[in-house]
Amino acid sequence: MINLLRSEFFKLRTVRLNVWLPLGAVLALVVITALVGLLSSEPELFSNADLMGLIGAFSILVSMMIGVATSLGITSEFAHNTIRPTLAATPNRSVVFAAKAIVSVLFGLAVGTVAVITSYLAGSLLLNGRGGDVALSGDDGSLAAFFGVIVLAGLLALFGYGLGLLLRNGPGAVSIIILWPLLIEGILSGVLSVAGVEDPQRFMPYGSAFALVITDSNDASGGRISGGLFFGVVALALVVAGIVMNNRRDV
Amino acid sequence: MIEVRNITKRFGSVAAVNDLSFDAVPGRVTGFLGPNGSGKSTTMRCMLGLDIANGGTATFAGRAYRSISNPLFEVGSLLDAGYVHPGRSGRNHLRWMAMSNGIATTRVDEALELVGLTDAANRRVKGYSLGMKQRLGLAGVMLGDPGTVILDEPANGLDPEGIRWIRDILTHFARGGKTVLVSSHMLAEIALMADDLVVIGKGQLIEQCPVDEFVDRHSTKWTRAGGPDLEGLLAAVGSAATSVNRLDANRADLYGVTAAQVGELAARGGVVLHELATQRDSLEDAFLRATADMQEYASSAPTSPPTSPPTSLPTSLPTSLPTSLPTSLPTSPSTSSPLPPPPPAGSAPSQHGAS
Repeated sequence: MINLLRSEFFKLRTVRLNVWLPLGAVLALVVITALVGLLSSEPELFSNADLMGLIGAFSILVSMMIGVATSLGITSEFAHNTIRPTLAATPNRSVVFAAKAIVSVLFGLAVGTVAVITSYLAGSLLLNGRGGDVALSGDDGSLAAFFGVIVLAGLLALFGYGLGLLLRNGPGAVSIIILWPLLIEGILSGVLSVAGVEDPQRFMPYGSAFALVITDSNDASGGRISGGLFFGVVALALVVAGIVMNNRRDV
Repeated sequence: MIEVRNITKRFGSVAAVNDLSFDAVPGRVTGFLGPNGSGKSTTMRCMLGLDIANGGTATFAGRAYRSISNPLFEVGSLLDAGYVHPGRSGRNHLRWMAMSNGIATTRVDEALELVGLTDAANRRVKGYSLGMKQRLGLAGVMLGDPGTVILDEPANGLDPEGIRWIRDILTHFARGGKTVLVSSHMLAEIALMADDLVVIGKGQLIEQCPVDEFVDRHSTKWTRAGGPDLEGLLAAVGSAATSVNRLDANRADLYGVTAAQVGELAARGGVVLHELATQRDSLEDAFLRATADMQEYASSAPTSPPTSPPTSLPTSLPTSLPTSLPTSLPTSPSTSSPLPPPPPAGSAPSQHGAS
């Protein structure tokens, strides 16, 4: 399994898109927080929760890009038929797809960690340098959101991979990753709301996961941990469904 | 040893492979032949577990492919040279393969050198010609020095030098005791490298036998004779030949009579012979005859009548390696390559997509 994990990680990092896509997203997050730190007219009024809230909100886009990268990682295997030499080298399909899932999550966690650390450092250093007083604290929810950014990145990596494995189609998987929270869950929430369901957002897995990166988790309908767990279960279910389906199909 | 037993693969209502059984034995190159759409590639994919067969089994040295934990050490396969991510370099493609089976990274560079791709190893595969991709695929096959080799159309896209090289490699593998199963549409190549044939059509086995036996069974034999006095020769042979096809002023093809008989009759008649040889159809002719009823996609275009005698093969097909080839494979990755030196990879500018 260790050999397989090494091999899969190597495959992930030797395709430029998988490197540049998350790197670009991380860079964008750092630039945004740096600009806010630089251009904020009253840095001393800028709280730690404000900074972490900003990072959390934009980190959703970073996590989406990670999901796009992991979904393209698996769908490109089918598109270029490299899945065939992959499974010829390791015939146990469940093990191969599980290894890919593990590598995807680790990749997401790693990129999420880099994203939150670099952006927080950029923002806090610039704000503090201009007279602000920003420091991570557990009291205002910023510490939880800090780790929530990392967890969301890992979950979206798993979600993207699972979707790609199930669909075997890059454009389809990428479209769903981007449109699900914006369109699908929005429409579903609206329909449920019209139907009289109270707080329908709590039934939407993708939207529930955003509670992970909100500093005040009371703002989220389902709560931080339950929102993350809900989305994690959905992502895992996609992966399991993908493995079951691919064990039965030709590649 | 490859044992395929009763493999059946259906796509909807179409049986691409139907109850197919055959063997490929160690120490011999087995050519896997069949018309387009006959199920060769599907069979190979089923053997490797890539396509899920509806029935039947395929074993390699007694084990199903899926039960082999590090198959690159036991079965090397190249089903399509295009199964490579275009954005990854050739070296990195081999490195992930090697990592997955715990093969040392140093072996990657050795394999690249064996196929003559060292100089292009760090280039992205999308810049490779088809021939270079074939070499890369072969390097992947060689990574674990497996005892069984399965190749689907390995000579596709290779220039004549490359084709010769791959032929030498495969015969070298077989002489070293490996089991080699190779499909190809290049029947002349198969004739030169294969010892045994598995011929299929419409997913079913037509015949499995040694190449000579197959050609003998499905071809016509005749005698080519020639000398300064062709008229005298024909008179000496007389009615022993059922028909005669004059090739030029000094040579003729004689049907219904063996070379030995022609020689004896010529000697009796005091006729000088400059040429006397048994001729027979090529493997291509034999193959077309054997699969005439099994062509899935037969052309309706009229074929031009032969303007020359049937193409012929030497009566005995070459079965030995060139003398310059060594007789054993390296047992240690650190030893220098005993394989025939590859022609330079960049020497195929005419191939598709070269850059």
